[in-house]
Amino acid sequence: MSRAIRELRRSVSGYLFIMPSISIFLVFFFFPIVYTLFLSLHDWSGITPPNFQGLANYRELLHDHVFRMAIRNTIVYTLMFVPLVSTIPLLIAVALNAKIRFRNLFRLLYFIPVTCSTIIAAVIWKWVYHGDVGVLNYLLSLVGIRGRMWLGDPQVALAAIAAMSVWKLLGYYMVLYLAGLQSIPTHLYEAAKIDGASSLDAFFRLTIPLLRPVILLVVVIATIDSFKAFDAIYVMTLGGPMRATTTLVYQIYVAGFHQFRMGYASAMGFLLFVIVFAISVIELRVLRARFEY
Amino acid sequence: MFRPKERDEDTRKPDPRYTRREFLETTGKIGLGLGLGAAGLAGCAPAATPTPGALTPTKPAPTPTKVVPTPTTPPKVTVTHWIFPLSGDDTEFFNPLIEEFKKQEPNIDINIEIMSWTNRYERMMSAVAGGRAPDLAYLNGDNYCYFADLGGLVPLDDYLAGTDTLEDLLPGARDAMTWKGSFYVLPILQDASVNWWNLQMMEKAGLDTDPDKLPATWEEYEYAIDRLTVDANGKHPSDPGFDRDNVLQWGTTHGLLVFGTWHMFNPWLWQAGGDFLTPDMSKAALSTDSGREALAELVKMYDNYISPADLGGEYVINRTNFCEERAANVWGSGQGLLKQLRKDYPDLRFHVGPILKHKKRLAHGTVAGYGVFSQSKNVEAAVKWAMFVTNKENAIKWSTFFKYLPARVSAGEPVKELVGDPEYSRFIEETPYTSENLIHPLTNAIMQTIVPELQAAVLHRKSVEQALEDADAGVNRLLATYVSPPTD
Repeated sequence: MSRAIRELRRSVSGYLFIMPSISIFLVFFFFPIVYTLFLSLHDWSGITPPNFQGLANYRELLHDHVFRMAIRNTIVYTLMFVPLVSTIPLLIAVALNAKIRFRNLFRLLYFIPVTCSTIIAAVIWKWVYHGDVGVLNYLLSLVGIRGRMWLGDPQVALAAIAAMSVWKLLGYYMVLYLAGLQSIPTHLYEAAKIDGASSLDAFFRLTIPLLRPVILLVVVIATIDSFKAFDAIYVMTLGGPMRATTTLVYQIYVAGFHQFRMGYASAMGFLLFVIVFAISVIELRVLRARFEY
Repeated sequence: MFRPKERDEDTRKPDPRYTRREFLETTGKIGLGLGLGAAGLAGCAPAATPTPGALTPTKPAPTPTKVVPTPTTPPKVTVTHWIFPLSGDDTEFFNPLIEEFKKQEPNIDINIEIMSWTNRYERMMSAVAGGRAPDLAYLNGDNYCYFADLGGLVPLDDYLAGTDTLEDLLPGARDAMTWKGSFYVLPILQDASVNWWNLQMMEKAGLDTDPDKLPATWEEYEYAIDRLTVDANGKHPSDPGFDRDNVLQWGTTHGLLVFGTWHMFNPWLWQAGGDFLTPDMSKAALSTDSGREALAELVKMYDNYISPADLGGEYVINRTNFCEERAANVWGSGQGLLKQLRKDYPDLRFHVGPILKHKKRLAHGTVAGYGVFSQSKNVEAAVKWAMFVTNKENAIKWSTFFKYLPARVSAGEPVKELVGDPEYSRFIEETPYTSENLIHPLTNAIMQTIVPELQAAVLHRKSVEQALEDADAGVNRLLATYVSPPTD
C-alpha cells in the first residue's frame, strides 16, 4: 500500500471527528455570510428573481442618512453596554466568590433574568419605564427624584434599553467571571497578604491581570451582542422616538421586511459583519496579553 | 494532514487493542452498508399484498352486465390555510365548518394552521420567498398589496363572476382589497377605529352622556376632552394656571411609539381632507394645508390633553389607560377594546362614540380576509374554501363567533341581533365611515418613514411644516426605490 494512502487512512479518523463542527460552521456561518454578500450585489424583493446591480446598494448606503443614524445609535449603544457588562458583573462575581451566607441563592437570583426570554423581559420593562404607573419613577419619587419619560424621550430611550439589556445579561457574564476567578490559585492571594497587600491591591494587581483572558472574552462577546441589539427595541420602542433607538439590525429588518429590499438589507448585513469582525480582531489584539505568576 | 509518529513497519507488533481508527472505520462501513441496503430494499419492495388472514369468502362469478362509464372522481387534495388566533380557540369555529364543507367537497381536505401574530408578515414573506407559501392565508388590507403587486396572489374576479359577493361587500372592504382593478382577498371583517367615552367621568365633568349627543366634530371633541382633563386644583387646560405637572385625570390617551399611523394620525389627516399620497400614488402629499392642519391638531392633543407618559406608550397602554380610568377618552381603538372591556372591566360604563367629522367623516378601519397564493398547487380548491367561509351564511356565523364586524352589508343586521350588544351595534353603524389604511405595496415602509417625523413634531423637535416636508421627502425617496411590475 502506498505511503500516501497509509497517511490518508491515519488522517481519516481525525477528519471524521471534526466533520460535524465544520459542517455546522459551513452551513450556519460560512454559507450565510457568502450568500449575504451575493445578495448584497443584487436588487431583490424576496419574491421576484434577484437582479444583479453590482455595488449600487453600497453606494446608496453612503448617502442614506437613516443608515448613518443607525450606525451612530449602535455605536452609542455599544459604548454604554460593553463597559457596564464588563465591570458590574466582575464586581458581583468577586463578591459572590467570597464565602458569604446565601451565596448560592444570590448567584441564582442574578442568573434568573438570563433564563427569561428577551421579549418577556422587554414587555415587563416597558411597564417598569411607564411615566405614570411605572415602578422606576415610583421608586425615584420616594427619594425625591422626578422621574422621566424614559422611552418617550429621545435623549434617554437608548440608555433605557441598554440598562434593561445589562440587567438581563448580568448573570451570564457574572458566571464567566466566576469561572475565571475560581481558576486563580488561592496561594497567590495568601502570598500577597503576607507581603502586606490590601484587598484593593490584590484586586488590581492580581485579580484583574489574571482575569485578563476572561475580560477579553467578555468584552468581545458583549461587543458582538451589542451590535445585534434588536429584540428589546422591537418590543419597547419600534426604533423611536424619532429613530433614537434605531440600531443597525433594526434598520436591516425594516429594509428587508417592510421596504422589501432584501438586497439592500443584505448590504447592510454584510457591512455589519465586517464591522463586528474588525472590532473583534482589534479587541483581541489590543487586550491579549498573558500575565502569569 | 494528521501525521502519527513514524514507525518501523518491520518491527511493529500488531496492537491487540481495538483502536479508535478501527472503530471509526468499522462504524463507517456498517453505516454505509446499511444505507445502501435500505435504499436497495426500498427500490425493490414488492407491491402491497393482501393482509394474511383477511380471506374473502368465495362468491359465484357475477353475470356479465353492460358496462356503463362512471364519472371520474376528482383527486383528493389538501388545502393549507394559515390563520392567526382571534379567540381562545379558533378551532371551535373552524372544525364544524370544515365538516360542513366536506359534505359539499369530499375530495378537499382542509388543514388549518394557527400561526402566531408575532412577525406574521415576515413569516409570510419568508414562506413565499422560499416557495413554501400556504394555499391561502388571513391577510389585512394594508399588507396583501405587496404580494398582489408582484403576482404572489391569485386575482379572484373570475371566480366571483356570477355571484353577488362584490355587491354585498361594504364599499370600504371592497375597495381595500382591490389593487390595480383586480380583487384579491375575500374580506371577512371590517373593523372601525372609533372614539370611546367613559360615562362616569363625563357625568362628573358635566358633559352630556346621551349616546346620540356624544362629540361628533373636532370642536365638540376638543371641548369635551378639555373638560375631562383636570389638574389637582380642578382646572382644565383652557383655564389660566392649569398645572400640567399635577394632572389627576387626562382627557384622552394615545401612545406615540407606534408602528404605523393608522390609529394615531389617519383620522386627523382624512378628516382634514388630506391623504398620504397623490391620487396617482406617485408622490407623497402630506405637506399640504390639510396635512398641516391635521398634524397641528395632533400636536395640540399631546400638548394639552394627553399624559406625557404616553410619549413612551403604544396601543396596549392606550387601552389600559382607558380601562383603568386614567383617561376619559381613547380614539382609534377598534372592536378588540370592546371585548376587553366586557371581559375584564364589566363595571366600567362607556359608550362607543361617532367617528368625528371635520371636512370629512372618516377614520381607519382595518379590513381582513382570505387570499390565495399563486404558489398554491390547489388554487381551485383553495378558492372554493375561501368562498365557502366568507359566504353570507358563514360570514354571519364568523362575526357572531369572533365578535368582529362583518364586511358584508347583508350580515350587518343579523349579526347585530345575534350579538345583542348595543355598543357592538354602534360599531356596525360606524363602519361605512371607515377606510383601510393606505393601500400600497410599501404601506408599512411608508408608515415607518412618516412616524418619526410625526414624533418629532409632537416632541417639538421640528415644526409641523418641517416635519411634513421631511416626511414627504422620505416617502418620495422610498417610492423611487420601488418599481411596480407592468400590468398585462
